[in-house]
Amino acid sequence: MDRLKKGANRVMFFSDNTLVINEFEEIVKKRNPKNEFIRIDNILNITDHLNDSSYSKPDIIIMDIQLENIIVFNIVNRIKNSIFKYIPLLLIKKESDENTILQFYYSYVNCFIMKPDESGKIFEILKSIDEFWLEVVNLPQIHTN
Amino acid sequence: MINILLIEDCLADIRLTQEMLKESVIQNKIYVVKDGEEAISFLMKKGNYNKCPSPDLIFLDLNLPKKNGREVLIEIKSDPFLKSIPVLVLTTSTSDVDIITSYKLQANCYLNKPNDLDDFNKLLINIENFWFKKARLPKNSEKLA
Repeated sequence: MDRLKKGANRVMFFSDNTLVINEFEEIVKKRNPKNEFIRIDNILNITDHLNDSSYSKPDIIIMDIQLENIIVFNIVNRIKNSIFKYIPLLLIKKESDENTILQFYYSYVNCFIMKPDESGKIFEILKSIDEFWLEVVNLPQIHTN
Repeated sequence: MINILLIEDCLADIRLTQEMLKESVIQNKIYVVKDGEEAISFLMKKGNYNKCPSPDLIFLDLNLPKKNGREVLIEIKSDPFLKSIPVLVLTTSTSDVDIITSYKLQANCYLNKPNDLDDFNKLLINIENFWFKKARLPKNSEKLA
């Protein structure tokens, strides 16, 4: 039996759009009401949040992030050079420069997803992330609490 | 066109993957190597592989002859040119240790290969739907040049 079908997942999500956050939380909880959804209000503090021993660690981190590349690389590198490097990190970003996308993969982003220009299409992307990463993929589950 | 390197020693799985991906609407070409040493030779373009392209995506089994999947993963993800290539671990193992170790070694995604033929087919469809259609694969420096 697929281990993911046995239990719930803990998803850490960041977006600067509250509508996107609410919609994704609904998608994730609809699939499995036991799934935990962790909202990150300030992405710059993500590693502080990960290091906070009062919180359980997520099974996956998904960032819908439109900040400058230099800031995003800094965040990615802080996660992927830490003890939390095993947590799959998905990046949703408006980025058309192939070299920058390549650099994100060099920095061990697990998957890069282009943010669509049409606002409605982001929900299709979120649904496919939920269907693939939370249902099919085996995520690393290290639950401390 | 997506070039895939399938690192797999099970002939039935190789055939099934080839047949399934032949049906894909996304044009792709599969290169197959059956052990870990061959995989590294292919990726380093050694010997008969000197004219083969760098793959856009790697499907990696963990239990391989000569050099196992973990060793191959370490070599790929520590190589400055190869580490950007997404590696999807496709294995029958559902052991938490294998899952966490693979992610710590920066596998992009860990997938459990089911024994049932229909389930395996579904898994390949899911991979195609996400990695071929939604994810943005890195264009390696060979293609950017």
